[in-house]
Amino acid sequence: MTEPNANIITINPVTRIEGHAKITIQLDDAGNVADARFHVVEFRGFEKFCEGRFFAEMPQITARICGICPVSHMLASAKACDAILGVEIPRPAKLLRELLHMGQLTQSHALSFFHLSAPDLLLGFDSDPASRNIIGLIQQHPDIAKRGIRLRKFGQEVIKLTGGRKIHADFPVPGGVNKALTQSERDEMLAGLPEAMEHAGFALDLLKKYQATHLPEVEDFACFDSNFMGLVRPDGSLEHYDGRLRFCDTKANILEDQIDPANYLNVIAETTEDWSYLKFPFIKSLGYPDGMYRVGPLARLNIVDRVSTPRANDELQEWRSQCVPPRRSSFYYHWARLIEIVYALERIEELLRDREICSTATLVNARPVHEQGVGVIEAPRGTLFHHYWVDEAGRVERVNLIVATGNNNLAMNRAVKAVAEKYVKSQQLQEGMLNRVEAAIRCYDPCLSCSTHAVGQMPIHVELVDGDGRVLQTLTRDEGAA
Amino acid sequence: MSFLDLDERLMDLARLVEFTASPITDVKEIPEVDVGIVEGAVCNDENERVLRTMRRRCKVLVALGDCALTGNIPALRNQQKLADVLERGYVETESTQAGGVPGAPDVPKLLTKVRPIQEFVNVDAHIPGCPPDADAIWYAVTELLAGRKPVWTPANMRYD
Amino acid sequence: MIAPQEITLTIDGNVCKGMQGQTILQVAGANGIEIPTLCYLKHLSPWGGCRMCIVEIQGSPKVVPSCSTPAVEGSTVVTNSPRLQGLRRLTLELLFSERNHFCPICPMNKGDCDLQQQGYRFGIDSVRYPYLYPTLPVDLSGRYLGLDHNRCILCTRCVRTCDEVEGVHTLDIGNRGVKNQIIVDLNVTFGMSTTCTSCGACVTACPTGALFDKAAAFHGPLIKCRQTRTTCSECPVGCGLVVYTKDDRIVDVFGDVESPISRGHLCRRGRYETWAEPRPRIRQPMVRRDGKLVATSWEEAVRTLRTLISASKDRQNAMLVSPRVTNETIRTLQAIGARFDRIGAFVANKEAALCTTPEFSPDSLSRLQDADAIVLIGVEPSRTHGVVASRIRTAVRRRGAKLVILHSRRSDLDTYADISAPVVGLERKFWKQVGDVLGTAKRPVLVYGPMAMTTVGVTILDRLIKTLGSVAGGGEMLAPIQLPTSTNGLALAAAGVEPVEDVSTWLAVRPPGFLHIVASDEPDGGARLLKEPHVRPLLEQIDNVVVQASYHSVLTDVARVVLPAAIWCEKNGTITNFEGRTLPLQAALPVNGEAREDKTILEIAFA
Repeated sequence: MTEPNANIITINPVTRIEGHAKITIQLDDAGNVADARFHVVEFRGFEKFCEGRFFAEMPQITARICGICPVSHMLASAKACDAILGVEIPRPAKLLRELLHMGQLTQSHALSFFHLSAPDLLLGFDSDPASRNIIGLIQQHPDIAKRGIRLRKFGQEVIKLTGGRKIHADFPVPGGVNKALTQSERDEMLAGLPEAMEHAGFALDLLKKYQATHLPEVEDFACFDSNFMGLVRPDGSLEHYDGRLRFCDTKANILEDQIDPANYLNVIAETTEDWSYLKFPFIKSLGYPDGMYRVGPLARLNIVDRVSTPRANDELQEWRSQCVPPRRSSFYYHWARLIEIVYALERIEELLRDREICSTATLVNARPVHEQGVGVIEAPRGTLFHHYWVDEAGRVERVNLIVATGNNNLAMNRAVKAVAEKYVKSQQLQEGMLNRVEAAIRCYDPCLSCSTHAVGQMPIHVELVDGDGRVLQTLTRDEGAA
Repeated sequence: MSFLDLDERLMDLARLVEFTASPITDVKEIPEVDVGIVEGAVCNDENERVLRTMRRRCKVLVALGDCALTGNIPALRNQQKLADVLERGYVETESTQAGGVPGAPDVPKLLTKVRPIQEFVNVDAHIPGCPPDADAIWYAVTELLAGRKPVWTPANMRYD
Repeated sequence: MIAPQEITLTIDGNVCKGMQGQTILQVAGANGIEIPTLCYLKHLSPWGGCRMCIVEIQGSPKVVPSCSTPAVEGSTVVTNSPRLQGLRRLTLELLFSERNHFCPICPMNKGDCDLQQQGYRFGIDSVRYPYLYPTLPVDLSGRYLGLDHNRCILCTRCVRTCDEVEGVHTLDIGNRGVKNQIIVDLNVTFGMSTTCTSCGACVTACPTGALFDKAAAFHGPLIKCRQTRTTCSECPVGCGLVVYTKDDRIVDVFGDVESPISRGHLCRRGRYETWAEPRPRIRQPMVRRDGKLVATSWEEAVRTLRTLISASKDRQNAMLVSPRVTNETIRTLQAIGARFDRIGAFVANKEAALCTTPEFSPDSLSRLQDADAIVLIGVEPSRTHGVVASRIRTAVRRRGAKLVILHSRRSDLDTYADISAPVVGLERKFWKQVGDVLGTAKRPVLVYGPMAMTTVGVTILDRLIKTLGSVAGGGEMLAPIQLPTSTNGLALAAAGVEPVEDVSTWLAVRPPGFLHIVASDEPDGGARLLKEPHVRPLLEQIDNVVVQASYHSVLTDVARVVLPAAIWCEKNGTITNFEGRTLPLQAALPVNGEAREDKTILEIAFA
């Protein structure tokens, strides 16, 4: 918390992320970074206001938690509802849900890389903030920007053709999905795959080159020990829709494996801090805050044995040989994210070529039989938990959610602190330094709330004051003009 | 996100307009602009402050999406007491240990009721939808650029 | 009756003809002029509450609701002016701001909501009034339907439907002013209601997502579904159904307004039990191996069946048939009849007597509709023929018809009856009362069912017929209405198939060596056959039992071969209702898995 003599740097709002957040950096009297905090400033209350609603609405209600990854919420929600119905959904429904998920993985990861993070990598962390964004990218590197747009578009098209709509499709429902895939929809997706894969490959090359030419910074960017968590298949390979929980330590040694995600309450708990609306999950057996763990692409590619699709698996092997364990640098998230795009595209093809992908057996009729259900999936940003208690009439009694990015909360705070310690020199405060602190957050591609809601920005003014309250330096983000 | 679904049209738009403050740019302060697009309901005091700033600095203010127009999903919390909503989220939930409702000055103060934008400021144009289709956004933006207010019909609007 | 007089008025500059007594809305509609409405439904009494149908009448400064304003000869009406459009917009904006109309999470949001459609039609992209955000409940206690008060616009279509069509008046409006709310009975939930029949007519009538079918939520927008008209097979009334399907599955089932029998109304069985109850469907032929049923091919199943028949060569072959089978299946039965020593239709209790002298009762429903006195004996329409019950209730409540019930157990209709008595020890005093009640009846109707076929029942039935005959105006001969409970039982009896109500005796008296049971698409899989205590051991003794059914049940437990039968929405053909009308079944879906229609199975197995 703030002490009367402490110096505080505030970055508000954090931009080029989803949602609203701010960062405060506390300096000690010697001008060194004492602490850094990542504050989430949005709150909406899904865990309460869903009470009393009809459970079949939950995929649609929880979709609105996020505009980038509504698919993740709809799928986790539908899985929780399936558990309450006590049904195994038909295989075609499972294929279609996973197809939707892979489309989402593609577009979300493409967005994170091209639209949000690439401006730093291609234009430079210290470049003019007025153009350090997708628009600047469009102006200065139009071909690259176009690739990013096209790759994301492909992912969105997969979602639209499969689910009926790009954002907030009402497709996943308790018991399956409400729309079968037609042959022409399937063919349209297959036709778009080669181009998408080409863009994914391009992005990987870009990132590999960047890493090769910036190796010291990359290896040490927001670098710290942590455990890792994610879902894996029974054979230990990468899995996003189903699977069981695996925990690894910082060197990627398995701590716990094949835990039924329905029992998540036995292994994970959350606590709160006064200064952020986002809760802090931790591994129960290790306590708070030692039980910090990371989720998402870096975690997943750390914990898996391999990837089931050939090209992505090759990329995984290459990444693992280039980035030696412990793979702790937050920067590695970017490469891992791109490998996952390759996996998603390969998986999309596998699914589209499955004999049953156009089957009309996509939905079973059932009534609630269990009083609670847990649905867990790997969202683009990490493991997502939906837990509902529903009565036999279908009324939602209670809801508990652990949202993907939430798992990374402790880690993001550590990341911010690590970067601040390295780059923020109190005597000379430079805009690019603050951007690097934000960039640490962007590695995690956080999804902090309904990402489409940015009710403008707060006017921001950064002051560096010494212990006597004298203003040493001011930093103001200027009006938009270049 | 629906705005980004303009895809290649984003590149065309970038030629026609200048983007200033937004979630995808690093401009942190709202400048004087011709058109400001606002989305989301007003949930806390910071939202309100930003909204009023937008109204002051934007010649034309556009409300984008159902949350801005009706309150929508965030307004579902209006049916409960705010204290109960916070209590459930930060104390009662089954995975929460030693919880407490955040109250530091670092975090904005929540308004008792979530409200739509036009209850605070005058709005010049509206784009309904949850979310509005990219086509609807494109239509509205191009109409505004031509100096016209978008007109909604069963063919181009949605509330869902 | 004097024919109503023709009138002429001018609407939007057009000369329009109508009839005296019609409303402006009706005359406009008859002349192809559309006026927006929300609370209006053609077959219900007008309410005039939504104020969407307002029109201007020359000479009056006020606007009037055209749905409830009589059309006047020579008047000049304007249905569409800037003033009217402005007022309609205002109405919609008030509605939107009054409650919590959040389209994104509503199951009707893809075009099935009248409020939403009106909003689009008027291009309403914002509301000038502050939103009230009232805290309103969601009642999910009904087995099949939910009521979300957040989405209700208080149009009262549900109230009027429940009152005027189903006749139970479960729904009404409670509280006052802005706190008005639809209430169930004396403000309980649907689950606690003692009057609600779950007929689902309120959901059908609701223009928004306030009342909704739980099992259909988010299964496919109705507006995009394929619609197939068919006939309900749950009872011999034969109401018309419209089946909404998408991707080879049922999304919902509603009544067919074109049906001359039901005119769009249904009871709980047709409206919901046909599709909203999950049942374990048999999708493939099965044979028993090592005590367990295993899936197999049609060839092998039929081979096994033929082996079973040969194995019982010296003994009799028998068949029991569900009364739900179509007329076409009955003809196939007749064609293969020679292969069997006995074929019986397992009808409801006491129905054999009814079917022995099968009597179709033509025009029964219209007679019931027009009746000014109704006598019931041995029938429980509330339990077995919901739509008939609704006609009886509405006749009593809306047209003052007299109701006399002779029952073996009480039912909700007793509360509507002038006389309700158990069928025992009826004394002279009783008959005097009956005579008094029915004395002025001009169009009395007597409905009797299987439970009237006891010895006592038959005696009383005769007496009733005589009594009614003597009181009916002009001494007209009274044609009583026979109302069986089995769907196509009368057609089976008319085709010479023996109606069997006591299966254990039928089996025990001459135990067959081979028994084929056509359970068809009985919702319980035919399990009711085993309700009688002696039937199961008899079947186990017979051993060579083949069951042709749609659903797994205790019946398939005793079968050596199980053949998957098509269900009602997969059948083509006809059934004959109790009036004698031949009604069509049209398949709304392809057969599920390896199922086949009953007659096809019989042909494969025995032809």
